[in-house]
Amino acid sequence: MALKKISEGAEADIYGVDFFGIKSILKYRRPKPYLIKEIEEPLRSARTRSEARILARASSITKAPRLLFVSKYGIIMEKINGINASEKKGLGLNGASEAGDILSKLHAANIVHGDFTKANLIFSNSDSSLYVIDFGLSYNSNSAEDLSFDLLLFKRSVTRPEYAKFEISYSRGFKRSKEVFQKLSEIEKRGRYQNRSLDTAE
Amino acid sequence: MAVLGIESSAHTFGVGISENGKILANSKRMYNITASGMIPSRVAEFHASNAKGVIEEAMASAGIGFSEISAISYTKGPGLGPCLRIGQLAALTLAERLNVPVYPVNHAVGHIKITEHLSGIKDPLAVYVSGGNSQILGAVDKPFRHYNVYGETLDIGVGNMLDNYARAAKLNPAWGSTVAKVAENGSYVGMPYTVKGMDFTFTGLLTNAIKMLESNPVKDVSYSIQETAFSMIAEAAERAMLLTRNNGIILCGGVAQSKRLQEILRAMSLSHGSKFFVAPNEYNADNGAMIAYVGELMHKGGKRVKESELTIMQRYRVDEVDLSWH
Repeated sequence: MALKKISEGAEADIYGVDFFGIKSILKYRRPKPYLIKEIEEPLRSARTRSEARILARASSITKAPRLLFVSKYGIIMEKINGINASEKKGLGLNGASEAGDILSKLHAANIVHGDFTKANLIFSNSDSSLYVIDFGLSYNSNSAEDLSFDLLLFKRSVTRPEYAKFEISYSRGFKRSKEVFQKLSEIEKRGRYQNRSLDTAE
Repeated sequence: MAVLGIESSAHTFGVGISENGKILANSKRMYNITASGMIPSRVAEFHASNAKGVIEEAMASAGIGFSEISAISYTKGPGLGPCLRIGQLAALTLAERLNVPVYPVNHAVGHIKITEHLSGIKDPLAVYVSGGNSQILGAVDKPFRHYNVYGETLDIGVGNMLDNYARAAKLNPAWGSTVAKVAENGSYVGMPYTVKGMDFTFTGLLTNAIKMLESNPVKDVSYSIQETAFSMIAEAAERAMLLTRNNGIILCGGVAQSKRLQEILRAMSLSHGSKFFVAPNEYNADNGAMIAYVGELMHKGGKRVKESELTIMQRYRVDEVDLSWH
């Protein structure tokens, strides 16, 4: 298996690998040399396990990379070749609508993505549809508050028209959407998020 | 020409004097916190009876006369209302007598700016940790120049959490620094670890630690709560650092005095080849010098202050402050 480092994320390194003929990604959680072993080892392995589990479920219900292999600190998954929505071309209205569809399916399955921004959405070259990646911060929850944080983050990363399109398809796909929108507006009214919402997004 | 700054947001009444970014004086007196904690009105009384003395002390140690003071600044907030009020009144009175302008300063901006200044790092990522606050911030220009909060505690500040724990563990005095002392020979017992992206929460950790005191040695629980809390802050800071591609970190605020927190953040920075800076303790604890320094920046930057802005604000968010005077 030939390894080639593609990028360095906040806590993991991403390598391109050939996994039995499938073009894949290896996501390896780096050691954190500044933390004591008793904290960092359980943290890394628990996060790896949890991410793998959620990725497997996510890819069975919506457009997300397929899980191929899991080790203690590493995950091998299908590589989505395409254009990242945070690049120049942007997400666009159709993309925003697809994003709403993706998130509605994750939320209906009680999956909070945890980092649902443009940077984690890719237009695939192979079937030209939108894929969601990086479940590194994902967790299971059905609380409207937890779910609303995905919307908050997404809202901050896109334009107003894109967000409006997103809202339409999200509410079509998720029957508790009203509850989540309600929570979102509550959260936005809390002091500490006022200056961190839409207007400060680029 | 120098600027005199007054800090009185909590238990410290401090007066600093800054001239061309040089700190000429940093005098302070601290209200003695007993086991009962801080009663705002008592602290305010303490400040009121010490204000004159600390101002004179600062002037004497700077070795200048009042005729050389060109502006006054004071802490507008955040902080305890009655305490802030004393500093504000002292500033307004002094300014009127000297016939010089007054500048209201955000307490957090004071901590960050003075540390930035001493570090020599341009636009670093700031880890600001104190009793009531725990935030990771950096200066951004849109929609106006301000400190953007990349991540922060979603419930209580790390300092208050450690103080609360110290009280529950019957440590005396009930401060974070006592927790650090007790923790020295402790070993790790499992604790909940909650980082959500670049935000974190402390109440779960606190509740769990207090419960674990029933069946574990105090030194182990103290070590574990401290280690876990600081690790969470360091991890959030690491994420913010990598996402913003900022390769300079400064640590400031009262809890920045913690040797262990300094050690963890320094190691984190080094592991990415980044710069790390923490100021001497007199600037991490609440102090007047930082208020004087920011006052001087505002004065020189031609900041215009309306009379109606010369108030106090108990909840004065750092990201509301327009830094365009800088």
